[in-house]
This record gives sequence, structure tokens and C-alpha cells, in this order.
Amino acid sequence: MILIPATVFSGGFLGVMYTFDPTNFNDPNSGSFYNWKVEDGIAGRTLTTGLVILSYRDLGVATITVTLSGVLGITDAKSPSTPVSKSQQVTIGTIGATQKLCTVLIGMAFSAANMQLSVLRAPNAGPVSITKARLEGRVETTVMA
Amino acid sequence: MAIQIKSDGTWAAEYEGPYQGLDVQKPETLISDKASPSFNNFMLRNSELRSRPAFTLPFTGNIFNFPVPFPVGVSSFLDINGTYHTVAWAGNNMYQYNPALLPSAPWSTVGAAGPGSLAQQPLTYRTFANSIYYTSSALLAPPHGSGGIAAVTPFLAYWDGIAAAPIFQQTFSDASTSNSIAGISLSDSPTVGGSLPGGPTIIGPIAIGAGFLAELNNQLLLANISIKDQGNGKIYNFPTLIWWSANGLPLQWDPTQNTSAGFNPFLDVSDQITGLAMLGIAGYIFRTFGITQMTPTGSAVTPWEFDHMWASDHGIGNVLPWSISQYGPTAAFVAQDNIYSLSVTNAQPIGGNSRDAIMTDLANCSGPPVANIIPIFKAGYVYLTYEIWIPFPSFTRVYVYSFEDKNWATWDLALPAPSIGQQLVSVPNVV
Repeated sequence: MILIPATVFSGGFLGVMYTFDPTNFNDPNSGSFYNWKVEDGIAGRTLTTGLVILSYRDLGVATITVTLSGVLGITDAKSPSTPVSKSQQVTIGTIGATQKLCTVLIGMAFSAANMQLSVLRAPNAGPVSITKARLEGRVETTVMA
Repeated sequence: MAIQIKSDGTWAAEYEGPYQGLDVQKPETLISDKASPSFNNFMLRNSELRSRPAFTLPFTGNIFNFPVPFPVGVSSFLDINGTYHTVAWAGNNMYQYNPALLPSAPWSTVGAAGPGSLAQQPLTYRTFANSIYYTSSALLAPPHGSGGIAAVTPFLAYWDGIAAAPIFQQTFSDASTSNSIAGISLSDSPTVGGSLPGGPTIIGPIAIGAGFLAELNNQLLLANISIKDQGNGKIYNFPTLIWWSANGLPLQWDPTQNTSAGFNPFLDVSDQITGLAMLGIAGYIFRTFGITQMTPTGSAVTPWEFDHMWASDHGIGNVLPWSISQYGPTAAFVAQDNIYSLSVTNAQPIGGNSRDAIMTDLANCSGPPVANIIPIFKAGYVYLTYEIWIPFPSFTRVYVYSFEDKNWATWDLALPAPSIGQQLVSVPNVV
């Protein structure tokens, strides 16, 4: 096993040995996040998302926060872009931790340019294993010139 | 799958593995859909985005109490009776894992590890002839971010797993004793010491220690040498010196007694030795800005041929003394411009699209980073990774490079620095 010698303060200064436990993917002290690529679709146009689809492996019950973020407006001296975002908390997995692949559909109506999907897992919020993410929606196609 | 826009104005984007990891070297809109501009505490193993394994204490109880709670190394070795020993070092002592003590802290004291405190500097170790050898010293130029490291009285010691305590002293035929098993007798010290760079006047006996230890051609190798003249207590540092034991005789370091022992000061380099790696039949001596290859000649009088792989003042070298690690035919290390893997045939940059983030964090660290190649997290759970551990005041950041997937992940651990020193003064290891 991997051993990580370290010095900590816990009621006194202590030398201890840590390890990574590959039977437990729910770190009680550290959260996790993943930001996917920023999608600009057609440059300068607004993307509208209606649905976020996450496929995941059931490692047990976990609570995650799914966020879509982006900007509204075209930046120039008169109209600076405004960062916008929308989040939704989702509970995935089962107590039985079946290890099966599952899918959750998350309805999220959200419009922005430069759209980005993110997932956040808080400390001790459960084990998470995402195998696929999908965004679906519409794109502004108005001809500007 | 890259974003798909249909003629009816609908769009879809799909993201799946295998993942390419952290990419900070392109605008977020131009990276691959398999990469991420930022993420933390997700593991990319087996094409999943999985929250990383929990960072836990596998044993209850602490090992080492204040005032010296700084473990400086952990390793395992097989003794001549076929018994595995897992040992650790801290304070003045060597400790051994003893499962009979569970559920209390399963570490029992073997004995004094050396002539003094091991302080807060990783020691290096190597198994040779069913014994574990280890050394520490006072590195002349502390590594970046260290803010100065307490000097360690230089020594080399060993434990065979059978004797009651580690051995760090040697008594010579003239009845003098050195506080290092790499030592020179009182009688020979003026001659041997006088031929070191600068021609110092040595009383003796001499105790030899080093920042780095390796083995090649049945000879132990010490690099970035410090010696203590026990006659007057003075410590001399030779940051570009390499010293080797006699062939097959790890207790014989005196070239006047055995011509296959000796030393070589690289007077023609402007930096210091920062590590060693042995690949195949050759050894590689890493300096801050260069690498020197050493090859056995088969001659007892001149046992090595040394070749600087490039003669420029600045080049690919190892800038972080404890970033070099090796697994089988591959070594990995951190140079000034990138992270590299080194095989028998070539050096390959592996920093990829994460390089700038890693280099920025290395430049801002609060203490000396450490690194190792970790093949498994535990028996049966394989994840061959090069892990760079970077201490910050309020947490520890680990950059994890998967050799299989060629991607980097960032893991932040709730491991802050204690107010009396650094949280990490040891290289993590698989035992």
C-alpha cells in the first residue's frame, strides 16, 4: 500500500502515516469539482440548454451540484458581458451501491454564450463516478450581417 | 464528441473518456472535449470521472510525538531470512511496522538511526545485500521553497533486519571509529581528506554522508557529499562530489585501502547534484541544470566512465532534489522547463498541457516538493502514476500523471502545514 508520512497538528504535533483508500471514494474532508470545455457553438451567439444528461456508475448515494455557466451580452465598451449561471442539486446512486451504469436527466433551461458544464461534490457528499455527460438545446442562428 | 449543431437550430455536446486531463495551455473554448480547463479531486482512471480515493489514516494513533514529529522516510526490505520489514525514520530513530501492536500505533522503535537528529529533510535509502542502507546530510544549497533546512550530521547507516539496532558506526584497524559506516580511519584521513577539492587539512576520522544514495555494479554510490572531520567537528560540503564504495564491500570507502573505492568531484559544473537514477547498465547523476552518465568500465582502479550529456551551463536537469523517482526502466523528474520521463533511450517531456499550472504551483510552494512513481495504491488496485506533492500553507496539492493515459489530474488534500515546519518532509512510498 502507499504510505504518505506527514506531520499534522491535532491537539499536539504528530507524525502520522496517510494512505489513499481505493475502496472509499467519498473523502470526508475534501470536495471535488470538474469543469468541462467551454462551448461557444457559433461565436457570438447564445446557446440555450434544455437538458443535461449524466451517465454514472452507482457507487452509493451522492449529492452533486450541476451548474451551467456562461456570459450574456457581447462585450464592447458600451455593453460588457455579464457572467451568469444556474445550478441544480441532484442526488444520484443508491444505498445498495450496485456498481451498475445509470443515467439521470436534469432539466435545466439556461441561455448564455460560452456555456460550460460543471459538477461539484461537497466534502463527504458521497462517491461519484461520471462516465458520460451530454448537453442538449438550441442555438441562436439569427444572421447578424 | 465535439458540439453538433443541426440545421434546425438544435445542438448537442457529449463528453466521455478516455480523458486528457488538465489543459491550461489553450483558451477554454479550444481545448479538447476530453480535457478540462480546471478540475480537482477527480481521478481519470479507466475513462471515468471518479471522485479520488479518500485520504485516510490507515492506522490509529500517531507514530512520533513532539518535539520531532517529522517522519523523513518509509520503505520496505527483505532480510536474509526472507522476512519483510517496513521501516520509517523520524527524530533520532528508526521504527518498524509491528502489526502485533494494532489497534494502537503499530510502530516500534528499532534504535537510533544515526549520530544525531534526522531533522526535517527526506533521507534516501537503498536495499543492498538484504539490508537497508540510508543516508542524510546537510544539503549545501537548500532546495527552492525550503526556507533553510536544519543541517543533519552526515552519515550512512544500515540495518539488516536481524541485529537489535541499526549500524551507523565503524571501527577501523587503527582503533578509531567513524560515526558513519562510510568512513575513513584516523590514520588515512589526512591523505584521503587532503585530496578532496580545496585540499582541506583533515584530522580524522572522517564520517561521510550525502543527500543521495544509489547502487550500481555492486557498489554503493553517495552523491552531494558532506563529510564531518570528527577530529575538530568541522563539516565540509561537496555538492558536486560523488563517492563510491569498494565493489561488493559497502563498508569500505577508503581508496587507500581498496582501489575500487573512490570519489570524483565534478569541478567543471556550475550547479549541484540533485539526485541519482540507475537505468540498465548505466547510472545517471542529476544536477540542477544537467545530467551526467556514469558507466562501469570493468576496471577496479578506474571503475567508472563519466560523460556529461550536455556541456552547456543550463540544460535539462533536476531542479527539485526529491522529484526524481524510478519505476523499472523509467525515471521521472522535474526540470526547469518541463517534467520529464527518462528511459535508457531518451528523455521525454510529459508536462503536456498541464505544464504551466504545475510550474506555477512549484514556484509558489511553501516547502520542498517531493515526488514518486506509484504503481499501486494497494495490492490489486493498479494506477501507475508519477505524483508530485506540493506543500502550501493551508493544504497540499498533488499532481498525478498517469503513464497509461498520459494525463494529469490535480488533487488537493486537507493537509496543512503545522506551525513548526512542513507537512511533508518525506517521499511517499509503496510498502
